[in-house]
Amino acid sequence: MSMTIQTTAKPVASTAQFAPPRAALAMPKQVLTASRGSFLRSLRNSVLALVAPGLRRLG
Amino acid sequence: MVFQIYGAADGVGILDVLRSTLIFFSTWWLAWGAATALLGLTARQRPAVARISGPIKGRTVVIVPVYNEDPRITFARIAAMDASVRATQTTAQVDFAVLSDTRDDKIALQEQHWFARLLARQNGEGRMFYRRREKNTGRKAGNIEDFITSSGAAWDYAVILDADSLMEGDTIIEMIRRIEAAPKLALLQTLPRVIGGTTRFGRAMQFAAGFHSPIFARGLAATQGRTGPFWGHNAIVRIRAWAESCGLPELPGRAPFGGHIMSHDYVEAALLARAGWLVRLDDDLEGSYEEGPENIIDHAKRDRRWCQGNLQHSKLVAAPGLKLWSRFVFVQGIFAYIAPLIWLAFIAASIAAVYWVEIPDYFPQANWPFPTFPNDQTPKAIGLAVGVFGLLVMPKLLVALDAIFTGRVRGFGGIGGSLRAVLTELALSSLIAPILMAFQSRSVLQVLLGRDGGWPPNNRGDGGLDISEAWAAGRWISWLGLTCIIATHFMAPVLTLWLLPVALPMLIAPALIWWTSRTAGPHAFPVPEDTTIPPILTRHNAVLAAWAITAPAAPAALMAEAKLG
Repeated sequence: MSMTIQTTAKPVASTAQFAPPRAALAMPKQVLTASRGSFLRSLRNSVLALVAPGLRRLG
Repeated sequence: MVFQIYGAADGVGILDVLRSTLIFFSTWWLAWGAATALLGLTARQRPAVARISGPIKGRTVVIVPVYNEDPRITFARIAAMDASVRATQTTAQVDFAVLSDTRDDKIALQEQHWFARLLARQNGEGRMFYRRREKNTGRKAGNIEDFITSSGAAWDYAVILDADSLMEGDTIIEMIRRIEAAPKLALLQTLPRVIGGTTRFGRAMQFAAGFHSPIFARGLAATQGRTGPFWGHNAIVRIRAWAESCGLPELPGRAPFGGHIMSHDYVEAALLARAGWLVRLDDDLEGSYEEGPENIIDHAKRDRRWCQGNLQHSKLVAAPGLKLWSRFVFVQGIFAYIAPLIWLAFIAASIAAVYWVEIPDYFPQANWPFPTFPNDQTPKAIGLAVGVFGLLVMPKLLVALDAIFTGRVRGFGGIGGSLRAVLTELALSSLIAPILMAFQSRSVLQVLLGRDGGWPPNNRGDGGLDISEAWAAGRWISWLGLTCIIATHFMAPVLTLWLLPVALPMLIAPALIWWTSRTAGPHAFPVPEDTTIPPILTRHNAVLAAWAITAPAAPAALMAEAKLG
């Protein structure tokens, strides 16, 4: 049995005409790997940032 | 500690130390889950969040990444959401963009056909977009990145969806109002409710997600504070913040640990928080939906992908500048997958400990005629088992109590109906837990052995499996269960009975996989959406019904119609 598509849509000549508008935005690659030293430094800063509000309240 | 005391009754051996360590980590994980639930139950409702009430200035694009999905169903969702947004009478600019990563040319052709239908139905030319990438570099994260870098500047906010996501127009507009009112807010996550479950497994998951997840999510949000969570979809992001902070690099080395980041959502939330942006879950936002896997095999396939992605985070825990909670979220995600292996190792060590235990010396003193019996440690062992079981069950029972007192049970079949569903779900999840543990353990081992699971498309059918499919997927678990029972029977017969709750479900894994994939009864695991059908779902069904009148054509006919190729 053959099927026919009944569509009110116009035939699509090319999907390029439906592509989103060109409006470039820079997306810099992030640094996610670290040397051991910088990790420890970063960890220390994270811990300090976490406890700092409490310490400030105490002090 | 309790286990150490228990194990030390006959002297502390290496196996006792090993078992103590294993049970410490296992119970820590369970305790953490229970603590999250308790926190969710006790966390105060957040004060009213800021929202703008006047006209919306920002431009928003709703992005729908697709990857070998059924385009008719996916595009019908877009039609429904667009109609729902229009029905809010908003003057805000809300566009839609389908970002196709589909590899199958036949499906891609159907996407083009259904996009044409979508445009015609919604009069969407100029505000609905479709593009297909030639290469799906970076998978979903790469797909979104490609869109942001080429077109992101055209909008201020992006609502990120999955192909199976549905959101009410009111919810989309409310999210825009909230993010526009908070300039430091980069990402606003909703708590999607699972809909569309029809099988026993699917309905149980749907019930658990609707009934328990809001409490667990509130607890999680309370712990993560300004750093998340983000689950990759059903969320709105500030495009400028996203572009500045979320360019994901390829990790050094080969997959599974190197290459593109698979579980990108946790990383993106961590990067936004690192850059000083706020990432927030607003669990009061309703009208956000997704679908879930309908059977254990589909669940295991998705879990394989998540497992690889989460284990890959071991390379990112040390990333510079991350907030402490972001690091903890990575650790937590890794632990979620290695916990089953720890349980398995504990069981194996316990069997080995009994096998190698020294025969008790009943006559330690020479010339003393009466035997000295070792202390009976059974009560302590039972106490430990009850404690572990309590950590598993107690949070769900507390959530049920909370639902009764707050009246939330009304949508879940009332007090009787919801309690019945909670207990049935507990029984079912306990029964299938060993099977899921086996699948998870296999996934972890595969990743550790360096096997890349790739990016298999999601199955979104009715979920029903026949017995041969269930047998093919679960027979190895049966053999594993049988081996465990036989080995325990010969090595440590006193433990055989203790092992049965784990080994028996494994033994009958194919039958359970098949049975749970059967259609559930009409009253099983009631959820509010059964009685009050969400308007967006009604709209979606109406579009599908309208589009079902003409069945999808053969690719050749589509090609001719679309004048493509």
